[in-house]
Parts: sequence; C-alpha cells; structure tokens
Amino acid sequence: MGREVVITGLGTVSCFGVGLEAFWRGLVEGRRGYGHLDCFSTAGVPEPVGCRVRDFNPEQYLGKKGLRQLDRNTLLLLTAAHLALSGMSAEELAELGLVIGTSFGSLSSIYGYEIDINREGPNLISPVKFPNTVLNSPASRVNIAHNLTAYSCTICNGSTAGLDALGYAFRAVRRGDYAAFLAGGGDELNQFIFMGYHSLSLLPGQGRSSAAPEKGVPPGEGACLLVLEEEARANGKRRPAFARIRGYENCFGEDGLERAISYILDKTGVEPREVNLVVVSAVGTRPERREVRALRNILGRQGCRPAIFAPKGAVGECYGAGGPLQVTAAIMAMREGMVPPSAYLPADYDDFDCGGGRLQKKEINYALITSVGCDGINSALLLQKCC
Amino acid sequence: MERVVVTGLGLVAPNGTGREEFWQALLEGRPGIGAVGFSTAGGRSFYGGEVKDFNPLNYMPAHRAAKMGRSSQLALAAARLALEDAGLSPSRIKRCNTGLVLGTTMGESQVGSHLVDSYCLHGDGFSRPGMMGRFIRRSTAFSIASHLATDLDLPGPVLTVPTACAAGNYAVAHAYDLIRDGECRVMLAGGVDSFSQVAFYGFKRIFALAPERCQPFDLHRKGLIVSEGAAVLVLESMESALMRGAPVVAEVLGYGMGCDAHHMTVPHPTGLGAVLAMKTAMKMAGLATGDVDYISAHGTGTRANDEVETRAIKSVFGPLAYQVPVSSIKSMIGHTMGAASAIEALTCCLAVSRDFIPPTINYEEPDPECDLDYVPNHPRWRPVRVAMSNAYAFGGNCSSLLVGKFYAGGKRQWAGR
Amino acid sequence: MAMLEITEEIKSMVAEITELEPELLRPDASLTREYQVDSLAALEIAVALEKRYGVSIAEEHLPRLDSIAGSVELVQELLARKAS
Repeated sequence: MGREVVITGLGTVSCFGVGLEAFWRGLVEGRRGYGHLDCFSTAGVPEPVGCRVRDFNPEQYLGKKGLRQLDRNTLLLLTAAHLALSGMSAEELAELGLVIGTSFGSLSSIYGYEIDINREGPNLISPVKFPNTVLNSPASRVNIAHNLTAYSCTICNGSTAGLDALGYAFRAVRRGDYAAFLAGGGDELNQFIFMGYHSLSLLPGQGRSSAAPEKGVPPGEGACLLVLEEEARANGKRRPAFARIRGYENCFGEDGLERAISYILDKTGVEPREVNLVVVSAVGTRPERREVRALRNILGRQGCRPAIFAPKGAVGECYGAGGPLQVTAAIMAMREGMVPPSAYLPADYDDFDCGGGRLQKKEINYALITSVGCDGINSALLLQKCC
Repeated sequence: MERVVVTGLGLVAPNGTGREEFWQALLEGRPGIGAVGFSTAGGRSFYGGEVKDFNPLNYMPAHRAAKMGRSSQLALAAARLALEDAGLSPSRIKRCNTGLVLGTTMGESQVGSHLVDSYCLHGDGFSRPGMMGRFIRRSTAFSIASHLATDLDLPGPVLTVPTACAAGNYAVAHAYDLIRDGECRVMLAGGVDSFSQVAFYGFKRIFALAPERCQPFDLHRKGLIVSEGAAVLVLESMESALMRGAPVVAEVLGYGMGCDAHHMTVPHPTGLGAVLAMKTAMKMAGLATGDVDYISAHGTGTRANDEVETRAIKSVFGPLAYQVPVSSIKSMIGHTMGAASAIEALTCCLAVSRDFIPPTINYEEPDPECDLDYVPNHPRWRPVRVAMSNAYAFGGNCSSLLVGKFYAGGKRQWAGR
Repeated sequence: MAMLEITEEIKSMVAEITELEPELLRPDASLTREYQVDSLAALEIAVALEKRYGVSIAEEHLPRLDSIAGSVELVQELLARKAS
C-alpha cells in the first residue's frame, strides 16, 4: 500500500504576515486581512480592496543580493521556502524534491515583457527578465537558492494548483520514489489579476445577489510551502510531524469533487463520520455549488455534521497558495484542538457545523480539504492527526 | 505496479499532422521551417516552424473554437487524433477514469499578447466590462487542459505542468505514475505551444535564436528555431490495453528528473541535472546503458546546450556513448517549446515500434566538443529496443524518458539477446 | 561626451546591474572572472548601453563588455561611427 507520508515543515506567507504564527493568530481572531490597494493603478474601481502581504520585506529573510530581477511571486515563494526549510542539512536538501502550484505564476512578468516589447521596442528588452516569463521560473529560483537538485516541477492548475502540488508530492513519497518533498504553491496579487477579478464582477459586493456588500472574498496573495516526508524517516530523525496525509484525488467535471472525496474514503477506509473538519474553499462564486453538493451528498446524507472552516474570507482568494493555506489551517486546528471562526461562509454550508462565527474547541482526528476551480478541476486531500 | 503502454499517438507538427504524415516527414528528413506568417509587435519577420493551414474546425465545432486560443486548438486536435488512433470510445474514456496531463511553456501566450497590445496600443484593455477577466482566464496555461477535458468529457485527474521546454516529458512521466499507481487505467499526456513573440524576441535578445535553420551539434550551429505544435500520447495500463485488444505501440519503462539548481538559462557546466535525470531513469526502469539503442537528444542547436548534453551523455554512458546513435529532430521542426518533448516521446515510440532512427539534418561540420554519432542527415533502419528521450528547460529542469519495444510476456525479454 | 564622464556613467550602470559597490569596481578587471558576473547580467549591461547611448551592440562585440574599460572604448567607437 506504500509508505505513510507526514508533514514535518511549514512555511507560510499570507496577508497576516510572514510565518505560521501570524497566519494562525489572524484566523483565530477572526480578522479579515484585506485592505485598500494602492500599490498599482486601480483606476475605475470605486473600492479597490485585496489581501496583499503588507510591509513585505524579503531582504529580511533572503539577504539583499540577487533580488532585484525577481518578481513578487518569486520573492513570496522564496520566503516561504526559507521558513519551511530552516534547520535542514545539506544532505537532506540534496534529496528533497520540489513541486510548486500556481494559478497565474509569471503572468505579470509575461505581460510586463509584452509591454516592454511594445513600448521600448524589441531591441531594448531585458535579457535578465526573459527567464522570468516561463511559468517554472519561481520554482527554479527555489531550486537555485537552496541547491535542490533532486527534482523540480511546477503545476499550473487554477485554484486547485496548490492542493494538486501537495497531492503530486504525496504520491511520489508514498510510492517511495523520493524520501521527502517541498510542496505547496504561491501567487502574487498584481494589477492584471485584480483588474481581471474586478472586470468579472468577483470583488466583494459586485454582482452577488445573496451577499451583502461587506461579504464575499477579495483577491489575495501569498505563498505556502510544506515539507512532506516519509513517516519512518521523520521518526528516525526524531522530527515531529504536524499531520499525516492519507489520501488525495483530483477529478474533472461537475461531479468531480464528489468522486474525488468518495475515492479517498474508499481507498483509505475512513468512514464519513470520522471526518470531523472540512476546510472548504468557499469564496461565494459559482463553482462552489460543486463543493456544497459534494459535501451534502457524501457527508450530509450519512447524517454527518462536521465542522466547516473557510479561511479564504480571512486571507482572500490566494490561488496557488490557497490549497496549502487551507491545509495549514487544518493542521493548526488539529494541533490546537480548535476551529477558528469563518470570516465569510455562504448560507449554503449551513447543513454543517459552521461554528456560528465563534472560535470552537474541538478534537479533530480527520480533516478533509476541498478545492474547486472555475474551469472544472476539483481536488480533495485527507489529513489525519499524528499522535 | 501496473505496466504502462502507449496505445495512441496524435500530433500537429510543423512538418506533418497525424502519425503517418509525420512519420513520412521523419523518413525523408523533411524540415518544416520557413518564414512565418505570425506577426509580432516589432514588425520583424522570423524563421520558425509553423503549423500551416491548420483548420481547427476539422477537430471541433466553431462555437468551441471561438472560445479557445491557438494553443488549445492545436492541443485538442492532437488529443482527438491520439484518441482516434487508440480506438477509445467515449464510454471507455469514462469507465477508465481517464485524465490528462499537459505540458506547456508559454500557455496561451497569443491571447495574453492580444490583451497587452490592446492595453498598450489602444489603452482600452481594462475598460470594457468583462474583457480583462475573460482574456486573463483564456490566457492562462491551465485553460488549455480545461478546454480539452471539457470537450473530451474526461472524468479523471487534470493537470498542467508548465515546466517549460521539458514539459512534455513531465507530462508523460506523471501520466505514467498515475497508471502504475493504479489511479487511472488510461491517461492522455502531451505538450503544446503556439508561436509567442515573447519567445521570439526573448531568445533573440539572449543571442540564442538561429537566423534560418537549426543545426544541432554542428560546429557552426547558431541557435534554436522557435516553432509551434502539439502532441498527445494515450497511455494505458497493459492489462486494459490487452483486454480490449488495442494495438500497443510501445511501453513506457521509466523516467528520471534532475535539476541543475545553477542558473536560469545556462546549463550546469558538467551537466549535473542531465546526468542525474539519465541515471535516475535507468535505475527506475532497471536498465543498463547497454540496453539503450537510441537517444533522442534535447539538441536545441544552441552552443551551450549541445556541448553540455554531449558531455552529460558521455559521463553516463562512458565509452558506450560513441556507439549509441544520438539525434535531434529539432533540426527538422525547430523547438516547439512545451510540445517538443511530447513530439520527441512520440518519435521514440515510433523508433522502437518500427526499428528506425530519425536523422539530425543540416549537419555539415563536426564540432570537436560534440563528437558522438548524431545520425547525420540520413535516417537509419536498425533494431531499437529502448529509446531514451532527453528534454531540458530554463531553470535547469532536466528530464529523461525511457520507452521500449513492447513484449507482452515481460519487459526484459529482449535482455537475453 | 568626455571619456571620464562616460566611464563614471558606465561604472554606475554596471554597479547597479551587478549589485556590486561602484568603489570596488576596477575599470580593467574582468567582470565575469573577477566579480563572477552572470552571463545574463552581462547581456543586461549591453542593453543598458544601447538604451543610454543609442548605439547597437552586436553579438561579436559582447566579449569587449567584460570590463568597464572595454565598454567605454566600445561605446566611444560606436558613437564616433554614428557621428561620421
């Protein structure tokens, strides 16, 4: 059946700041991390809000040199990698695989290059910025920064990208191909993504019939990387495990999430009633109907009423970082025995235990993390508490 | 673990559409490179490998084609050809939890380029309602795989691996993993890229673009040629393929990855990642260097790549390196970016099933630094049991894929030669 | 333009691109060998020179940009050629 896979390292950069503690504190306090955006032009948007990582100072973590040519997306990821890998030896780094999920990745670098070609003319474009235009550039920079030679992969999968990267790494470690992986995802909030979000009426209060203007989820940014490791190896190195990954599936289509969750439960033998927390991707957009329906059909019908937590109302829709941030939230909920209040959760989820906007004490053994993308991709991952 | 076989090949390449047309082109050493019709912002014309006279309506209805960029159209065409080749019915696609792993370098760059042109030149990109969002969504790399999954009604895992010029190998490798793990019985795996002005001007800027032709391993090689295309392979568990009586083209034996962790565009001088990738692939497949009868090189035609790749092959194969034929089909079709290693994987499947080695054309003068047997200018007919396909990318992402002749009895039947 | 002026200008451009301290840059030192300047940064210097002085630098000129002195010499030559 393959090896057991545990999570032994976490690197988190969110709008609540750099580091795991800042992220968890923001969630527990039920804060909403968005603010007024003034770092790029938002002309024509009456109330430009987003969950940007404020006062982000990468030099503090990465040193001064060599950052000039990197895009923000890469800097966020490099910082998360720095946090996740602290204390690892050179030998461990040499066998560590890397997979990063992203939704838009190098978009601002690609568009920036196109703009330079137009404005400056093709003869005066920058050679140094050219490699930033490939989508695997941020991952490759992490490989270079930490001398990770074993494996480098990037997954570009919309909102599910980060969870898919974790699933990719999980399978590689379970199969025994690699002893450990650094996996997760990241995306930056830039002008293009923000204006795209705005033009599709996805900003809070825009075009949502059911939600009041203060509800809804603004676009966000962040990076979140986790160290996945074979359990026996982690034990051997006496490295404490945050949680065990039991299963992961990705299925396409309208009923894809339902199938993904039932495959996981079937393969692991975990009963629906044993799942006592679901960290959902709720952002108040259409694809979510797939999430609500899947939870109702698989858990609700069996009379299960797990706790529901939706972190995106707090940290924004962070695309590639979204899934790994959900997983991180679930890990912390397991460890601390408490479920934070959801800053934003549509009424559709009311069949389950939504916590009534309060911090709840709760013993959690199994947590399910779900992610649905606007293009029909659905992913789910099951975590188990490590004793 | 399940054995994984290839049962369908589909491609749209600058020198041919579909398996047989492409095969003929390889046999004749026919190039697909010329002045391209693609227009760039600087108004400069380029030499490249263009998929000419491509009519998306042969593969999809007009209302779907209208929603897609050129990369999605090329990829969907390749996928439909591959499914037809494999003889897979829609109901079987459903039953087998069929999924898709697609590689790309630039994604739907022409859609993004259009948006930027409209924004930069006319300043109206952001003002029209919905336009910005729709364009961004359509320009993302993952939109290609979503279009394919929707149109082909795929139920299984869908993943886009944008690992630049090695993306095709990554796609085949992951599809192989999903089948050998028993997660899926059938997977589509491939790669795609359409012309991108970022690629043309970017490679030109770093002096890696050849003016008119691609001459891998030649002393006077001047760089790569930017091309476009798509290829999709149908991978299937051996059990599933044999049960339905599908013709098996080849078997996927293993893969290996390595990362230079050295520089974004310059390969590691000793070929660290490339060596690791080749060694890991052979370890996974349980093969020795003597088993490999053909190496499909990354062979872009740039000074640095060809020299370092040669060095890496010698470091892995030792004295045997001089006996194994190494060729680069990029000499014929140029560098199709995200599609390149998918097209090359497909070529390796043809090589092992037809005992044939495609040539490196435009090879005129040997380079003392590149002294292997590059199959200059003429194809060769000789038994190919195992073919290795190398693909390397920006960021030092290196990959090697191994495909072998298929023997139902056991994968090592040919080993007792 | 005076040679001294060009030298100072190029020195500060090179310092900015390479993230080296301008005081430490010796005009005749090889950027790639002595300061381990990356090959893409060397190309970036070429682009910066093209932008600033309105000249066009061909691939065969690149080795001359390996030192500040070489860059100054090349720029002066190209400017003179442009003027004539």
